[in-house]
Amino acid sequence: MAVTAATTNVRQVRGLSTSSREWARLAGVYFVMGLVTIILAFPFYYLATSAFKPTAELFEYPPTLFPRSFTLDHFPLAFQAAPFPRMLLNTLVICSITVAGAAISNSLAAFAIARLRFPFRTLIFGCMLITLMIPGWISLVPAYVFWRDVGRTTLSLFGVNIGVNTIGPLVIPAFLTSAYSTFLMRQYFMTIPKELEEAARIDGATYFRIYWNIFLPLSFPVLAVICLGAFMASWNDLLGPLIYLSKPENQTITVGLSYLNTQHMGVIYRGARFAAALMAAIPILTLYAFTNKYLIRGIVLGGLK
Amino acid sequence: MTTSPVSVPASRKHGGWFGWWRSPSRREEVLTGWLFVLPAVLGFVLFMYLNLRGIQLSFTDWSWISRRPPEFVGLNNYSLILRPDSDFLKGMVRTLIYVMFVPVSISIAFSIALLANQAVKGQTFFRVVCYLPAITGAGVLVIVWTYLFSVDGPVNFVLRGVGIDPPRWTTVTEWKQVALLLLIAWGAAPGMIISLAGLQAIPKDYYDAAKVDGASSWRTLLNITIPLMTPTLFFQLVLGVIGAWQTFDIIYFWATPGTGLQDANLWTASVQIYQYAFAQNRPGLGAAAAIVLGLVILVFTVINFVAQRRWVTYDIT
Repeated sequence: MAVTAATTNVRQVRGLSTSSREWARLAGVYFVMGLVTIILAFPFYYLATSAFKPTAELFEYPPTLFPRSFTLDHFPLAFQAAPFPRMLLNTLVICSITVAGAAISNSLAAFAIARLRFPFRTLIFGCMLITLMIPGWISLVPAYVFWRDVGRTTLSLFGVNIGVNTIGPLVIPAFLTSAYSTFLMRQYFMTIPKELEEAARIDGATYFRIYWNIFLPLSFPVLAVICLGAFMASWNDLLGPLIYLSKPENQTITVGLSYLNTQHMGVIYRGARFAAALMAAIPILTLYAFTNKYLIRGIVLGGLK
Repeated sequence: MTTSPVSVPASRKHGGWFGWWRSPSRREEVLTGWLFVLPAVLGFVLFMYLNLRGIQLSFTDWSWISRRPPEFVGLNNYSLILRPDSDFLKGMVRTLIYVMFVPVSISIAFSIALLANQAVKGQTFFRVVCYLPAITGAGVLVIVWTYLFSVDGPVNFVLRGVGIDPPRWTTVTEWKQVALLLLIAWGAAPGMIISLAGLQAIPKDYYDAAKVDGASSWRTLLNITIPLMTPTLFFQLVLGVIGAWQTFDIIYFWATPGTGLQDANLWTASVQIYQYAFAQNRPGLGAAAAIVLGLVILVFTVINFVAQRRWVTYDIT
């Protein structure tokens, strides 16, 4: 992303030389940027430090900005309320399958819509875009009925139950494309020069080979955004696991956070809540630390078109 | 459309609807295409089936526990949820607060984008920090928020420091609402990425021309930047309003037994839909409420598109 100076003050202010005005502008910009950074980052700092403060320090007033002592006691206490390590593993499994589903299904559909000519192509693409306009809440109750009935029939996937109380309802929709991701990929595929695939066709490559060997490798920036988006949406999904999974040992970490609830109002649970929240935040923040470049660039890409 | 200028529509090239079948190359293309979009078609069919089923179920009454099939009750569910004192209507009114807050969120995102568009060092880091709120889920944020705003928390410490007697953020409904709106305002920062994309798409010529005319930076902002940003702002408004009507996660964590701050006076329409459908075991009511919410969202989206003519500039000359 090129940084452009959008608004530079061009009015000559009397009594101030250009360089000192420029210096004042810089100072102002940095001051506000610093303030915004502190406001945005402080909750994360507060979370990361509080999870390791002993209970006594957590209740100190004024709150300690720099922790004086360090403890890991809150984590075992959090594990008593809910099986968080198990929940982390569940979430990771669900997220991985969802990401795989999103990457495969959306790129295949986008490739076909962007590059292949076949009857009903425009109609199918139009239908997909329509789904963007219908809020998901309308299908909440019928979807639960649907997955309950799927679970009741013996008609399950290769003998594996995929109805309610399994991860089926959470991961299978990812394999059925999402209109926004397909749209984003299609826009990107449209920009890839035709010459590449024409040469491959002359050499006798199948369309799948063209997709696999040319389009997928070239689409890394947009594929990364779709995968990261799918991962984050799945990791932070509340409603899905909340209604489809009931046993604590099958639950995801996001819903797990609500297991430290009204029953855990006691003083000692303050640190446990922080510990649980930190466990839910660390994996996704780590992922973001390594991938923010692709994510932000990709969103700018998607936001533009 | 992807069709290159030289190619002729398939149906005409080989004659008739099934002409593509006769050419092996075209046959491969069509069959591959259909195979690749098959998941999308299945997804669309399932989605439409579920929505139609949702409409049908909204006219029925049943419970998850009994095996009794849904019983047709006509418009009964609708008359129940649209009674003036119904929990759902109250939830809709409360949700309106979040809808009306959307312009505030967009303004915050826009202001931060103006900042992130300045030619100074450290912008990459700044953008990474700005996007942080979008990474973390509502559960984590609400837990942190609960303690940031607790009686002995950092926010109250700062407020007392500047001489303000802090309100009881986590016990009084109205102040819980304010703390939630502050969470939403804080969470509006990531929207700056979209605004920034819009800002950077503005041709530099406009600014050069303004510079030649000796316009102040304030006038440049008012007469060039903001008018040229209206399509982006409109895009954010439409999506923001649709999203705000469906506010769920933060309310679930903040005001249902999830965190110990439960307060039914904060429940939004979607939380009420969830309550009807699952917690209260009245799925028919939940289905009907979801339809009403969907229609309201549709009406607001149409209003937005009609009203855009009054304020969105697609070209300035």
